[in-house]
Amino acid sequence: MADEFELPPHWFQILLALADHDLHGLAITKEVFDRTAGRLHLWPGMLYGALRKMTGAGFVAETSAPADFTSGGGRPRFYRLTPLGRRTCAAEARRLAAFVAAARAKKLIKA
Amino acid sequence: MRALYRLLLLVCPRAVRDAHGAEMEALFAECLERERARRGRLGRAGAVARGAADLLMFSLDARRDLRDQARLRRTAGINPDRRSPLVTSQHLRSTARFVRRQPLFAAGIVGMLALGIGATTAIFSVVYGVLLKPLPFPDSDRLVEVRGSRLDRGWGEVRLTEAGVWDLADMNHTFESFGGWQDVVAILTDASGPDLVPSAFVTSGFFRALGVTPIQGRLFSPAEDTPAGGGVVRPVIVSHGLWVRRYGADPLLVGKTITFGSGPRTVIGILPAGTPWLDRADVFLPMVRRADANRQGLEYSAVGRLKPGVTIPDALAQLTVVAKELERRYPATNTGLGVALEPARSWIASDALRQTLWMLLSAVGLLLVIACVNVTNLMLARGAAGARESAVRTALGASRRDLILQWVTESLVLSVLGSSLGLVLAEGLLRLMQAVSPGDIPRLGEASIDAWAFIVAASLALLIGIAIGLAPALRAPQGDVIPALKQGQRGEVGDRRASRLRDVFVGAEVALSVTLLIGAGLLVRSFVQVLSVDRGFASDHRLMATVSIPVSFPPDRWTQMMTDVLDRVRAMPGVISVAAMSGRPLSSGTSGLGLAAAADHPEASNAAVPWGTSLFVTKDYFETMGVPLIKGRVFDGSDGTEMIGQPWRAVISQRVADVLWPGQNPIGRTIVLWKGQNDTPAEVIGVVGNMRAGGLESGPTLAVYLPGDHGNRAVLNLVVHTSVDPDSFVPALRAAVGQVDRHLPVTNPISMDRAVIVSVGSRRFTMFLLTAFAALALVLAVAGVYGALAYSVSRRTGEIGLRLALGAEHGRLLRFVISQGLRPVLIGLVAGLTSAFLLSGLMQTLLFQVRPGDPLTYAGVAVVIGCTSALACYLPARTVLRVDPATALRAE
Repeated sequence: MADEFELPPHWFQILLALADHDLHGLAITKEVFDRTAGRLHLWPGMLYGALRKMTGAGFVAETSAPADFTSGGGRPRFYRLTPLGRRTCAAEARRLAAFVAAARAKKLIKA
Repeated sequence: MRALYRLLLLVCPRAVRDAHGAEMEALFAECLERERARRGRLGRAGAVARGAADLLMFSLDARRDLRDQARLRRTAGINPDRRSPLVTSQHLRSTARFVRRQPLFAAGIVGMLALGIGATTAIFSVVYGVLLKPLPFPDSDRLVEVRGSRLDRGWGEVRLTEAGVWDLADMNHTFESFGGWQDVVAILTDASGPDLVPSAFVTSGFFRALGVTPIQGRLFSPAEDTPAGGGVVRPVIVSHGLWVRRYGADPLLVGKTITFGSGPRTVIGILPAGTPWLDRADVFLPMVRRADANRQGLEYSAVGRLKPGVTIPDALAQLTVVAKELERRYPATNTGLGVALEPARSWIASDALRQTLWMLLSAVGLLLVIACVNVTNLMLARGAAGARESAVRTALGASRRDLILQWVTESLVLSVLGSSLGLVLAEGLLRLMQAVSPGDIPRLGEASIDAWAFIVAASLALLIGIAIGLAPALRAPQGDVIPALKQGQRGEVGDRRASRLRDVFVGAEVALSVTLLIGAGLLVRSFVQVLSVDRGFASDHRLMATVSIPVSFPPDRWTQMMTDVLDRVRAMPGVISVAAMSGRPLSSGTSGLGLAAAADHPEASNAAVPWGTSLFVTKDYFETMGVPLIKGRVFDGSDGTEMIGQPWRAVISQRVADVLWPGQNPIGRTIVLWKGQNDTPAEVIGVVGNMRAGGLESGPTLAVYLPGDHGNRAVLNLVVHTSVDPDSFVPALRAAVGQVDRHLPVTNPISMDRAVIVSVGSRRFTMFLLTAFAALALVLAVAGVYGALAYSVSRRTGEIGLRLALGAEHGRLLRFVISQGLRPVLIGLVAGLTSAFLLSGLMQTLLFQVRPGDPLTYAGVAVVIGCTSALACYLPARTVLRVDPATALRAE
């Protein structure tokens, strides 16, 4: 299943952000924003809509906050990547990498 | 901006909002800050728009998701989510399916509820409008009407005298304000011609005591109570009704001059609309305090506003002291005059009307209960039929809560539909009641299906919907569903408990409708009694009319004019006889007088004086009215009260003779009229039959007839005995009077038959309504009997087939089924007769010459119920005869 469809770009970015650590919504937005140099701006509805759908699909799951987490107030929900989500994200990365390799083969970019 | 976002979040489904709302809001603030940093104020504005659009998309998406999930669950017929709203669209859809599949069943339920709720709402509106709606006066619980009493003559309440009003105004310590009122009639002349309008003299305190604020202008000032007070301006106040009707709500009327009574008057104020008092007269004049105020005529009303903290008994005690003091000061006139107080709440509705309306409300309540019992029975039957469906759903995992919610939703939808239809019916019924009402129910015309009626109808819908929905729901299978699955499949009669419950319901319906029918029956019997009572006069082919005399009519021409009118009418074709009289029978307002035989001891106290009525009549009166002469002679035209030098002559009714001269011949004896007042002697020349002139329900009056042939201005009511239809004679009568003098208007023509009906109008009204409700109750109850038996027969086709196959005779089987259907009816009949017997005592005051335990009524109702129920049982039982054993058994 993971190979069968193309992930929406912001789904990919969210999964990517969760790849190495559990994050809450605001942190995900920040990381995505920084990594894409401000080109992908995750609006609240976009972010949580995606998180709800990916929870339903089993890509991510809610998790408890890390022990060292302190916040200004409230207890935000933390999300972690599930094994299925990790495979899906990797598959998408490979799909994109294939395009990059093709571009490289056509000498559009340097190695 | 965050607050705005929080508001926008409300578009999201609640579950989603609870989960993510706070974080989304924080995130939005972050986004906003970032955009502002990057692009300044413009960026911030853009971010707000972008954020809102984002949120909208998100919420649409989330909703779609939730719907999909719900659909998934529904396909299994299961709703395990206990946090779902109480009633979901699933329930409503299922209800719609049920209505589509059994439209007649649903329509029957809606119709029955509409009848019950509609009738209840209509009567409630009347009860509210007439009895409960507050008076248009502030703090009306402190208002009382002050009346006099003549307990020595058996009168609890009479009006006050002119002097009495001023005495009470001066001597009371209980009222904050107090004012008097005298009814008069005067002619208002304006562009549209002269018109007789009801008017009143009021003291300046009157409207102040009521707490009335004029909508324009002012009230009378205390100075205007004094003879000099008005100055050159002769002020009047007009009613709201007159202002609108006659002056087209002219905003500049105050300050204008109108011609009223004896001359021009200046309008100084306009009263607000309202009942009572404010609409009792159209023009109000100041009641001027006279030094020689009359102490005899009981013509005045008064109202007082109690000082804060003063109770009615306190006030009565204090005013009684005042009355005693007045008796001491003016023994000649005030002896026996007491004081009575009537609290404002009974100004509108007399005790009798109050009782009638509450009785009607109870009756209609019973009707509603019958409708509900019927509906519950139907729902239970459906519950039994649907038991298998419930069992299947339970087996599939539907919770008990789900099933109950489903039942309640169905009944709620039906009861809300019934209630809405009921409101329409209520509006119609109210209009009908207003149309047929005798016109003496105050404020009935103002009653409407208003917010209160809506509240009543809505609460009834809610209450009934939940109650009748819970009944079958509570019988839904619990725990082990296997027996229900099996039983439902076999189509048996349901368990014993269910059939017993149905019987109880049928019995209850019958009992309630019997109670109503007996109430209605007693009223019908009373009505027939009233109409057939010996009234002492003939009413067929009699026409009454009044000749209105303008103030300007020269008194010396009066006798001639009246003689001309009588002669001309008498000569007309179709007239058998004609007479004139000073008052109409069956109308109140004939003046009373004390009577005594001349031989009585002159020192006999006034207390023992019998009280009668006097009537001036022309010579043909007795013949025209069909009153028989018993002894002596009637007037022959030569008798007169105005003729100097002749003694008065009087004709008395048999009752007067019996009271004054029991067992003796009264002819030639002298009767003292107005005993205790001016002691006028008169010679008795004849005795005539008794007449119920004061109304059919009051006893025969003690009547004294005096000759009115010569110049008596009081004699202006005509009574004509015609050989043609009296109503068709009215134009001819008008023409004849017009030929004598074209300025003489003929007013209020009415046939005597009609006058009789009008005089019993409120009795007729009550009887009509209660009979209609009882008839509806009968229909509902019989439908219930029919429905219950039809259901039970249809469920037992198999059993019946088996019995037939085993050799049962059709006839015996038919009798067996009918007797099963009639058993609860008989029990209900006995219960209903018993309860009616116990309750009918409460109706005592509404009955006339009929005992509450009237055997004829009870037997009649029993027969009606018996016959209709037997028919209702026969129809479904007959299907037994058509049962083909083979088919029935195969179906089994």
